[in-house]
Amino acid sequence: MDAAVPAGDQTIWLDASSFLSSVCNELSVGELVHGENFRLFEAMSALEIMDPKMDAGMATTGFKTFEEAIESGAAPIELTIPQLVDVFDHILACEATWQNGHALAQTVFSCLYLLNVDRTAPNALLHAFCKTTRASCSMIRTAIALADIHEEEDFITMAYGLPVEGEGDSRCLALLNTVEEVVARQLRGCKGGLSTKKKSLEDAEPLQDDPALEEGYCHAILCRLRFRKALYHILTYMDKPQGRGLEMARKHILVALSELQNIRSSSAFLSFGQAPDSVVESKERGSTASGRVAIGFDECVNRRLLAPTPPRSISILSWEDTLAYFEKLLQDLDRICSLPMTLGLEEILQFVMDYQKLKPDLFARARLQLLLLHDGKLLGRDPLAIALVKVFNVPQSVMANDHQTQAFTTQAARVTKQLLKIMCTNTAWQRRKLGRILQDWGNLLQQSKVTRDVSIEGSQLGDEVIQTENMLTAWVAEQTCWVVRQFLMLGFQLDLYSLSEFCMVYWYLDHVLLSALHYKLAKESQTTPAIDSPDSVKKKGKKKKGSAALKQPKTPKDGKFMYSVHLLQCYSDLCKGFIWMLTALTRDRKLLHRETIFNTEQERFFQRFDLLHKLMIPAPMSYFHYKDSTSQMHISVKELYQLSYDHFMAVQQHLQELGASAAKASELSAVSRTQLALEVKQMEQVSLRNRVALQIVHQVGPGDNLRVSFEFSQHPCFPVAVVKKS
Amino acid sequence: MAETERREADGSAKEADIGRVEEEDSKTSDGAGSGRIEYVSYKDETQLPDIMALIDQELSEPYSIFTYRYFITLWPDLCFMAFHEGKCIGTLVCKMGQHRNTFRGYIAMLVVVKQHRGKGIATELVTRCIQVMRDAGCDEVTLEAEVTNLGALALYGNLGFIRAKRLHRYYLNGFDAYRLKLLFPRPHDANRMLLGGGYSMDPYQMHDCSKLDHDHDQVLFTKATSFSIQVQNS
Repeated sequence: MDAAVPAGDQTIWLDASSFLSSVCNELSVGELVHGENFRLFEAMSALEIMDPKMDAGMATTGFKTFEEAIESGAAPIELTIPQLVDVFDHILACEATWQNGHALAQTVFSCLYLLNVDRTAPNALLHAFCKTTRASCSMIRTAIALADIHEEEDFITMAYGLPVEGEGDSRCLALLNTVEEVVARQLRGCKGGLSTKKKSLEDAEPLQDDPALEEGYCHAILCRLRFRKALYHILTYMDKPQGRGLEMARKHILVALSELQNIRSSSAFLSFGQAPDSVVESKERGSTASGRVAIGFDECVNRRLLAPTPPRSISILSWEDTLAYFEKLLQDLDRICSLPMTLGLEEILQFVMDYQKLKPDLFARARLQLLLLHDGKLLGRDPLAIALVKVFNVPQSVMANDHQTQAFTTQAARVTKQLLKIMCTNTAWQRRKLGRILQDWGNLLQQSKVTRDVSIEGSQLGDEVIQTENMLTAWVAEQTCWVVRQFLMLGFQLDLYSLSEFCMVYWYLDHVLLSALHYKLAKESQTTPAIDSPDSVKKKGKKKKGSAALKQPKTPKDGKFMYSVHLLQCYSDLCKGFIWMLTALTRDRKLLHRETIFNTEQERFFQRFDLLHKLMIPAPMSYFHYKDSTSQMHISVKELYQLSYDHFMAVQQHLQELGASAAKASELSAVSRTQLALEVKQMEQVSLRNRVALQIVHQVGPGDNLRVSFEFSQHPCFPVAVVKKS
Repeated sequence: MAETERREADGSAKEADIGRVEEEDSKTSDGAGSGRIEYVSYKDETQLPDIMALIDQELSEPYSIFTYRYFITLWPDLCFMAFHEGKCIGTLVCKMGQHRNTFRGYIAMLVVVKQHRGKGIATELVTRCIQVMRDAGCDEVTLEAEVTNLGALALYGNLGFIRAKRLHRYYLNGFDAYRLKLLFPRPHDANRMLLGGGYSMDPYQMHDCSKLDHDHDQVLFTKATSFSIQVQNS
C-alpha cells in the first residue's frame, strides 16, 4: 500500500474501513467513542480539518504563498501611473479597514508590496509610499497597544509574524521628500508645456505617456504623497509627551485635510473613461478613486497567519468610506491637539465626556488616553495625587501631617486614573466598566469618613483636619454622583432602556442629579469668587462631623463651574417632565405597558439599579419608594399633564441661565463649549416639542384613540413625544 | 465561551408596529393556528440531524456537531422542536448552569424557517423552555442578540427580558449585540422586602431624602411660575 508514512519493521498497513463500519453499526443511538480526555465542552472548539468553512488554510482559490504570488506576477514592480495611484488608494482603504478592527493580515498586509518592501526599491514612488505606510502603521499599532483600551473592539495588535517594522523606516521621510520634489518639478514642467523653450537637462521624465493627462496625474500623485507625509508627521508629533508636539501636529492636520480635499477632487479625473455603471452606487464602486481594482493585493496569501478560528472574508472599505474615515479621524485628532495643557482635572473629565459625544474612533481615543495619562501623570506633568490635592483644596498643614489624608489621596489618585482611562473606551464597554468601578468609589467614600485619631496638639490643626474630611467626603460624593449619572445616561445612548423602563430610569436619574447638585453647590459656597489660589480656604467654622452641609445652599453668583450647576438643573427638570408625562400617559391609557408572564416591573427595577444600591451616596432608592412617588393617585391626570408641562417650561428658564453662565466660563475647552451650545439647542427643542405634545394629550379624553411614542430625534438622552391617531 | 455560543435568534415578530404583534402571537398560541404545530422536547440523537440541518440552513455560523452535542446531550430538557405536518420547522437549543453566584439559563440557538415566521412559534418555543428553566431553579435567563434583530428584541422584551449590556462589535460582521437578561422573582421575596445586595428596606417607611441631601417632595410642589396649558383653538 502506497502511503506517505512508510510501514516500519514491525508494522504493516491494513484497510480498516469495513471493520470501522461494522463497529459503528454496533453503537446504539447517542453512543460516542472517544478518548479519555474528551470533554463535550472543549470539543466545541474543534475544527474540522480540511473543511474550508472551518479550516482557514484550506481555501482552494488563490495563491498559497507569497512567493507563489510574486512568481506568478501578481505584484509587478513596474507599474503605470494609473496603476500606481490605484495601489496607493487601495492601501489607504486597507489602513482604514484595519483601524476599524480587522486583521492586519487581511487588510494592510494583503498588499504584496508591503509584504516585501525592499523588493519595491526600483520603483521610487512605490518604495517611498510603502516605507512610509509601514512606518505609520507601526506607530499606530504601538499607540493603540500602549493605550490598552481596545480589547472589546476586536483590534488585534498581534502581528503574527507579519513584517510590521522594517530597517530604515525612519528614513522614509527623506525618500518621500525626494520623490515629491521630482513630481512637483514635473508638474511645473508640464504646466509650462506650451512654452517653446528648449527642454533643459533638469526636466524630469514624464510620469506617463499621454501629455494631455500628465498634469492630472502629477496632481493625483502629489496630493497622495503629501497626504502620506502629513499623516506621518502628525503621528510623530502627537507622540511627543506632555503635548509638546501638538501645535506642530495641528499644522500638519491642516495640510492633511487640504490634501485629502485634493485627493477627493482627483476622483473625477481618475475615473474618467471608466464605463459608467448607473446601477452601482458610488459607495460600492470599489476602494480606489478610479474605480478599478488595484494590482498587487491578495487577501489569501496570509491565510496561515490568521488566528485558528473559522475563516471570515472581510470587505475592504469603499473609497468614499475611506475618505470619510480619514477626514473624521483628522478632525478628531485636531480636537485633541486643541486641548489646553493647562486644564485642571475637572475640566479634563468634562472634556473627555464631551469629546466622546462626537463618537471618535479607536485610534483617536487611544491618542487622547496617552496624552492624558502619559507616564501615569495627568497630561504627563503632575502625578494624579498632586493634581487632586489642588482640587481638594486641602490645607498644606494637613497634607503634610495627616497620614490618613495622604493615604486617601493616594487611593483617590488610583481610582481617578482608572476613571480617566475608562472614559476613553468605547461607550458600550465604558458603561460596563463604570458599573464595575462603583465599588471602588463606594470604598473611597468610606475611607474619607474614617475617624481620625486626632492626637495633634493644638485645636487649629484639629479643626482643619475635620474640615478636610468634609471636603474630601464631599469631593468623593460629587464624583460618585458624576459616575452614576454617566452610567445611567449612557444607557439611553446605547439604547438599553425600553419604553416601559423610562419612567423608573428618569426617576432614579433625577435623584442622582439632585444629590450631585447638592454637593456641587456645597462646594461652590465654600470658595469665594475672588480667590483662585488653591491654598486659601475660606473657613466656615466648625462643622459637625458627618452632617450634611446646608440643605438649601445659597446660589453663588460667579463661582467656577456654575454652568454645570445650571446644566444639572436642566437635566433634573427634564427628568421630572418625563416622569409626570409618562405617569399621566399610562394612567390615561395612551401608553400601554403589557404584563410579562415571567416577572414584574420590580424585577426589572432591581436589575437596573442593584449595582447602585451598594453605594451610600447617592442614597439607594427602593422600588416601593418609586411606586409611591409616582402613583400620586390624589392628583388627576390633567393635573399631572400640567405638572409635566411646568417642568418642561422650567427647563427653558434654566437654559437661559445656562447660556449666560457658560459664556462666563473661561475654563471650558473649545470642545466642551461647542458641545454645550449644541446641547442647549437640543434641550430647547425637547422642551418645546414635549410641551406641544402635552397640549394635545391634555385636550383629549382618556382612552386609546391616540398613541404616543418617543423618539430621540433631538437629544440622545431625552426624547420627544410623538402623538398619532391610532 | 461566548465565541462558540454565538447565534442569531430569529424572532417571529418583525413588523414595525411591535405593539400589535404580541396579541397575534397569543392568539395563534391558543387559537386555531397552533393546532397544526406540534411542540416536542428532544428525545434522542435521531432528531439531531433535523436540528443541525435546520440551524445550518438558517444561521451563518459554522457549528460543528460537537457544539450541538454539548448543548443537547447535557441539557436535553432544554431543547425543543416545532413540527408542522411531520417536518421540523423550528428549534431551540439552550443550557443552564452555575455562573458565579447565580444559577443561570442560557439560550444558545433559536431558529424558525422563513415560511412559518410571524405565527408565534418562536415565542412558544422560548416560553416552554424558560418555564423548564424556572422550574429547575434558575435565577435568571440570558442570551445575546444582534442590535438589528428587531424581531428577537421584541420577542424577548415581551417576555420580560431587559437589554442589560451592549457588546461592541460582538459579531464579526461589525454589528453590536445586546446581552438580554430575564430575572425571575425570588420565592423568598414573598412579602417583597428584600432587594438583595444585603440591603433591606422597610416598604412601609418612605425613604426620606431630606435627611440626607435633598428633598424630592419639596420640588414637586414648588413651581417657579405656573403656566396653564393653553387649549388650542382649532
